[in-house]
Order: sequence, then C-alpha cells, then structure tokens
Amino acid sequence: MRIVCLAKLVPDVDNFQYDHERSALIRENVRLLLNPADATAVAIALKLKADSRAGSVHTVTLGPRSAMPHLEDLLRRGVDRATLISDPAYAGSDTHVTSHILAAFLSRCGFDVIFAGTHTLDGGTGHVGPQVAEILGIPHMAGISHMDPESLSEGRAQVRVESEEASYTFALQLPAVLGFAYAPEPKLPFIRYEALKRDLSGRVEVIDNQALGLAPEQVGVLGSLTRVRKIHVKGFRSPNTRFVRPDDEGIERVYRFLREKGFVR
Amino acid sequence: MDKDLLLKEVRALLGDAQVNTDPEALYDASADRYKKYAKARRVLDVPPPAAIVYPRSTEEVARLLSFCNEHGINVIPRAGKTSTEGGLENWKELTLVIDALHLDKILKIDEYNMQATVQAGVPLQKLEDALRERGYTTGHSPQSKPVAKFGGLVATRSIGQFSTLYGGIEDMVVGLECVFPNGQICRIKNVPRRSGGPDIRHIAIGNEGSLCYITEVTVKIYRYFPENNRFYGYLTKDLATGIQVLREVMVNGYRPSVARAYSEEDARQHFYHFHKGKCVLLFMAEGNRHIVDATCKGIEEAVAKFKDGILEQVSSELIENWFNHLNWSQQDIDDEFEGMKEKDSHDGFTTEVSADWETIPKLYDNVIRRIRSEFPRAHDLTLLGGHSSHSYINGTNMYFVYNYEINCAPEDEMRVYHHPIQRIIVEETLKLGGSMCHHHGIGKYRNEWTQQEHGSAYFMLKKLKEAFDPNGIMNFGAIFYQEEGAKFQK
Repeated sequence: MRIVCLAKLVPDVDNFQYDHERSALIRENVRLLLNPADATAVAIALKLKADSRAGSVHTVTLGPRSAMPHLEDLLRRGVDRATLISDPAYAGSDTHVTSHILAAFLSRCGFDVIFAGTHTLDGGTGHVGPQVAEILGIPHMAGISHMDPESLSEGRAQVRVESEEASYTFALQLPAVLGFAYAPEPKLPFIRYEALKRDLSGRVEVIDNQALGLAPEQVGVLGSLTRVRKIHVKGFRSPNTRFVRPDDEGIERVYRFLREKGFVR
Repeated sequence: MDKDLLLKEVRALLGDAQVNTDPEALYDASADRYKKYAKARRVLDVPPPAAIVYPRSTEEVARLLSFCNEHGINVIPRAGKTSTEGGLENWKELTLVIDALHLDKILKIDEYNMQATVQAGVPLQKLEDALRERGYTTGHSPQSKPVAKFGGLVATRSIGQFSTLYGGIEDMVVGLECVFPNGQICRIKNVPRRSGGPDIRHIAIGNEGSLCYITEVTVKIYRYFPENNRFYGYLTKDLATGIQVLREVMVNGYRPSVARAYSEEDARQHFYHFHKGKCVLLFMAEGNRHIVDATCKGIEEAVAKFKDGILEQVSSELIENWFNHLNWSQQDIDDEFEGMKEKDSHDGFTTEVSADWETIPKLYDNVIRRIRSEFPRAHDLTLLGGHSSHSYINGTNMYFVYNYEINCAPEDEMRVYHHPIQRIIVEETLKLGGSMCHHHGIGKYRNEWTQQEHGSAYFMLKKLKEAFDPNGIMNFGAIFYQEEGAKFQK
C-alpha cells in the first residue's frame, strides 16, 4: 500500500510578529513547524508502515524552500520520499488554487490512499482535503479520530469520527482522502543521532510550476477565487495590573475579583 | 576492590544509617541538571554511584577520603544538588557520593564582626532567613537560593543576582575548612585581609570537588534595608544600548545590586507583560538610603546620556514584581522534571560567559550569527537570545539562553542540540579572549577547553591537581579533561 501524506509547514503562531504599518505578517525568520494534525496523519502512516500494513509513505508539501529541513527530518523519521512543491508563482494562492496544485501533482504520483490533517494552525479552513478529493474524484472524510488498520487490507478504510453528540463509523472505498484530527498519539518517531548523517539525496525532490504546467492565471492571486482584503491582528488589551500584598486586605481583594469573574462561588 | 567490598567497608566506617544504596536515590545521584531531560526519561548513559554517604563530622569526611584515596575510589562531593554543568555526574563504576546532608548547622552569627559560620550542608535560604530576622543578609541570591547549600555554592564559585553590589561568593568567603584526599583537614582562619602569601582560599573556592571537600564556610554578612529598595526598568532599541548604560553606571563607580540588559528574545520570555518586542534594561538599587539615593541618581544620569536608545521607561512596580519572583524553588525543579517525563521539551539551557565591555557586544553578535547559520537544527530553535546580569568595572557577563523543540530521541538530546550550541558559544568566547564560564563552573562538559581557557596558566591549575589529588580520586572529569570520560561527552 502506498500512502501519500499532505504535510503543511505552518508558521509558529505563538511567536509571529506583525507589521502594523504595512498590515502584513513579518515572515523573515519566522519559525515553521509541521502542522500538528498533519503530524498525526504522518505518524499514523509510519505506524502502519512499521506494522507492515503499508509499503511506502510519501509526504507532499506545498510551501517555501525554507520547509526543506523539516521535510528532511520526516525522511529521518522513516518517511520514504518527500516532495516539496514550490514556486514563486504560487504565492498568494487560496485554498482553491492550493487544492488544484496538489491535485495536479497527486494525479500523477501514484497512491492507494491520501492522509491529511483536517485543520491547520494558520488558516484552519479545512478546505484543502475535501477539495483535493473532489478534484481527484475520490471519497473524503474529515475529523477522523480512529482508523481500523485491518480494513485497509480489504480495499476500504473504516474510520471513526467524533462529534459533540455522537461517535460515527464510516467505511470509504479506497483510494480516498482521509482527514485526521490532531491527536497526541501516535507521535512521530524520534530522529536518532545516527540518522542525522544519513544521505538523503534522491529521496527528496522539489517540483515547480514548470513541472506541473499550470497556467499563470490558474495559480497565485490571479487564480484564487477568494481575496484577502485586510488582515486584522487580534490585539490583546493590556490588563489593568493591580498589586496586592499577601495580607488580609490583599487576599480579600483577590477573592472578590475571582468571585466577580465566576471562578469561585 | 569490588562494589560489595566497598559497601561493606563504608558501612563499617560510618554505620548503615549513613550509607544509602536505594536504587532510585542512586539513579538520581548519577547525573545532575545537565542531563535533566535524559534523566527524566530514564535513559541516562552514565553508571550510578555505588552509594551516597552522609558523614556527620569533618573527621568522618577525612576518614572517608583517606579510605577512598587508599583504594582508588572516585568521590563526588555533593551539597544542594543544583549543579547545572555535569559537576555531579558520575563517570566511574566505583564512586561514592559524599553528601553534606548532616553537616547542617549554622555555627555562629557574629553581628559585631559581620560574619557567619556555617557547615557545608546548610541551605543558603536557612542562613538568609536567620539573618533577615536580625536585620542582615548574606547578599548572595543565586536563582537556586531556596535549594542550594554552602558547600556547593563555594565549590562552584557561584554568583547571585545582587552580585553587582555584593560580589560573587569569592568576595564573601572570609575563611573555610576543607579536607584533602589524604585526610588532611585544613582550616583557613577568618580575618579581614591577609598578605601571608597567595590567597589559599581560592584553592578551595571553585575547586568543583576536584581537589578537596569543603566542610565549613564563614561568609560576610551585610545590613539589610529592604525599605530602601528602588527599581528601574526601560525598553531599549537594542542590546548594545542596554550594555552601554550598564557600563556607564559601573565606570562611574555606582553599584546597583541588580543591573541587567536583555535581548528582545530573552526579554520576551521574562517580561511577557511589558516587553513589547523590545530589549529590556533594568536596575535595582539597595542599601542604606544615602547610597540608594546616589545610585539612583547615577542610573538616571546614565539613562539620560543614552536617551536616543531608550524607548520608554517601565513602571517600577512591574520590575519589583519580577524581582519578587526571581528564584526557582524545589517545586519549580520538580515541576520541570515531571513535565519532561511527558513532553518533548524542557525549560531550556544556558551558557554563561564573560568578557570586557568592548568585547561583549561583538561576542553576542558572533555567537547568534553562527548559531543561526551553522547549527544544523536551527529550525528547531524556539528561543535564542541572552542577557547581561553581572557587571564589573571592566566588563560584564553574557548569559546565552536557548530552547528548542526536541525532535530527537531523549538520549541524543545533548549531542544533537545543546553541545553544538555550547561549542559555538565557547569557541567564540575563547577566540575573543573572554572566559567560557562566568559562574556555573566548568563541570564535566566544558573540560575539553579548560587548557585553552587558562592558556599558559593551566600549568598552575594542573599542578594543584597533581599536588592535592595525586591519585585522581576527586570528582573524575570535573574541570580536568579525561579521555575515559569522552564517551559520555560526544
């Protein structure tokens, strides 16, 4: 079984900086990290491989060249092949264009099933998985919390999806796009010290638009169906800081505050 | 001698109650906070000691050391257990950890002569509390104050957060008692000053357990005036401005107890509620009212002189609040340890160096540039910055701080992350003529550079080891490079 994982590198949203004058994110030196739900998807794929239920795991990433060290790490963790789709022409692509770019590559790379994370930390629209499935004409399910590994050998994927009200079980005919919800387990395997020196050449490739052959008007801002008019950074109001001493008066004041806010009854 | 015979002999020397062979205690004793993550994940690669022993007197220490000296048993002196540089890590199969647990008495507080005498196992906090009740202070406040003990503080040449006023431990120790491997007990008397040859206090101060075992210490004490404390905080446009202001204050002869300049990144983790993405400069003035008034004036003048680099003043209440939460307690240490069992992260690492005023900004820039461009795991860094926190008339320290997402196996963490970063910091520091270790000591993981640190003066250091510990039983690997220990370092 060949598993392809869609793996997005997202900015570390806890530490990004914003240029208020230009209304733009400062992307220089922004740390990237593997989107947590995508990491769950890759971890599940690698577990299947370790249990001999999958033959190969291939990650596909659309993003900047600075994603490369992270893709190399995925190879060190046990991924067989990594593809980075990167082209300046793709800058500004919305989820519609992103899905078309990914689908253009996926339609020719060969797979039995596609794993992805359902949501990303940065955008969080959850569009890309379903749109890729739609373009490829295969089934899709989002928010998967569990997958029965046995079912894969029968050419289908039996998955569980949780909602606030109930837990649902679905079966999808393969090939399909399976969107996993983030879960703390399984974790990605550790990178071992020895793996850091491993020769990765030939296992990681960079694909640009010349290879995919999409028309300029199909990609980037031009091809996007949605427009970003303005980005608002949610400002955090500085709280009124009040200092109290650890005496009866201070304790009373803190207690009253907590009562007002409903933290104590 | 094998381990069974060693334990039999040690029990005969001290009695069963003073010999601890509990496996958990021995695991804990096999490494200090240097390998905190591997330790929490239970993947330490170093052997446990044979036992932890708890002498009740200087004479028992002497008997233990004589015995170990005669039989070639490695000894790790321990008091407080807050070592951060591998000083307490064990590299030998046959090792005794001699812990100062029972050397726990405050022997004398001499208010008239302004000095206090304590045994090596007295926690700094215990003496500080006793002094505060009488209106005095030790003036010593390392971050580990609630946990650290005097034997460890003196053996590692520790420094406190108020060092710019009170100095490091070497400025506080008046006299001490220590025991050498051959069982020789030496007492250095308590006098205001002496010119009786070289100052032999410094053979014991900072020896990191590699020459002798410190059993008793006498330190200066100071009048304590908390009601006079004054705080200043500023946002600065860059770290260089902060350092310029620190220098201005120091060279004009002022001695604020706290004088610190933080990079943007480091300020973000310490002062999340007011840093605004800028560098932070802060001061605290303490002492008697006249000195505090003068010091405050000096700080204000220095800030005014470099006003172009000062972005805004911060409420002194915020600085005071920060100051009141400076120390980490045993609870903080335990919480980090518990967290590391579950999470692939910890509270980060530091490497502390020093150099003259002219060199420190260059050194900082060189280190940051090299780490960003050469460190193969730079993409995992979640924090990289630094601060100056101990200043002198001729220079200051730089406390490099860094943290990272740990993506490797726990047993590989040091060689994948910490060691490559530490190497860059040490190399750049030595290249520019600074000291690679400002106040943590050399421990066991900077010993490959000890010779380079001291240059031609290494001759003197080496001779001390040869003279006082000819059989090499004292804290194998601490300060002095050992080929046999390299397997734990690389």
